[in-house]
Amino acid sequence: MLVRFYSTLREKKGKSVEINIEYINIKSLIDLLEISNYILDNNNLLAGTMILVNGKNISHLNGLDTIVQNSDSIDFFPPAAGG
Amino acid sequence: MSFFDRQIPVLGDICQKKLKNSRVFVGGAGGLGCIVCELLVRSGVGKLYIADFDVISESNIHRQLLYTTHDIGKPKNLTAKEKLDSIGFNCQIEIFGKIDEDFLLPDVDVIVDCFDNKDSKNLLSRLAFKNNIYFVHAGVFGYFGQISTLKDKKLEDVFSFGSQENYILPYTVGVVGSLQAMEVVKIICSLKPNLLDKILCIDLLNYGFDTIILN
Repeated sequence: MLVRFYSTLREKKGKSVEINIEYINIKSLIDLLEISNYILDNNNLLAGTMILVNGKNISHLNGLDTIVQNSDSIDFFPPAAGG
Repeated sequence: MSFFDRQIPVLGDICQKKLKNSRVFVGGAGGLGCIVCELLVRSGVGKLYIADFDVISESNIHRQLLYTTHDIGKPKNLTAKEKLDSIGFNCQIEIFGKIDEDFLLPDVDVIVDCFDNKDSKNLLSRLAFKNNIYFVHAGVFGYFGQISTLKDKKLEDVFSFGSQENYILPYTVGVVGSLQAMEVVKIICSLKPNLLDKILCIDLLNYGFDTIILN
């Protein structure tokens, strides 16, 4: 699966990483990517971080329990709210 | 000679007429809003509505290009209108202060999100969604920004905003605001490709532009 990072996360993890794993939930993927320090607080997603699975926010799927597979694209994106 | 002699060869006569007949609502007359409003007026947009209830402060001047140190303490909406009127392009400009859920949105073609906080952004998005109007969102933080156009989705359906420190660079605002104005012109003139149901991510630290396609 293709995992892409944006904005401030890109400074920490680079642009993207390809992972070969059949099935994994988002929480375990975060652990695998070693990014929990940046986006989790007590096992909850920090406000201001969004995760898209094939372009859909996981808050409208099963949250951190959302299962992803090899054919999926996952975007980790902290959107900017300033103007 | 006309004001638009240099852009009509690019955009075409039909697009220029569409711009003249267009009505755009801009939420927020801060960093993004100043750039977007000025570029839309100079593009030939016929009617502009601007909503902002803030006053100009010292920390605004480095990126909010319609204002100078002489404007500190003045209301942004009124000052922006005066500066934009002084361009002399005969764009009709109407201003509003704070808006809420009951705000009666004027009849517009596009709504532009230049607000600087998630609550105002989400409120404006809900008004756009309720009225079935194109919503061109942008946000900036430090070296980074994003732009997205939505019509059958609300901002909160896609974006999860947090509260963040107000770290803003004038260059990021300039680039993102210019792209946002371009997107508004593309929506008005039906130019493709546009950013409907996409997120354009702008990274000025590494000079990167990436597009996420929304589902």
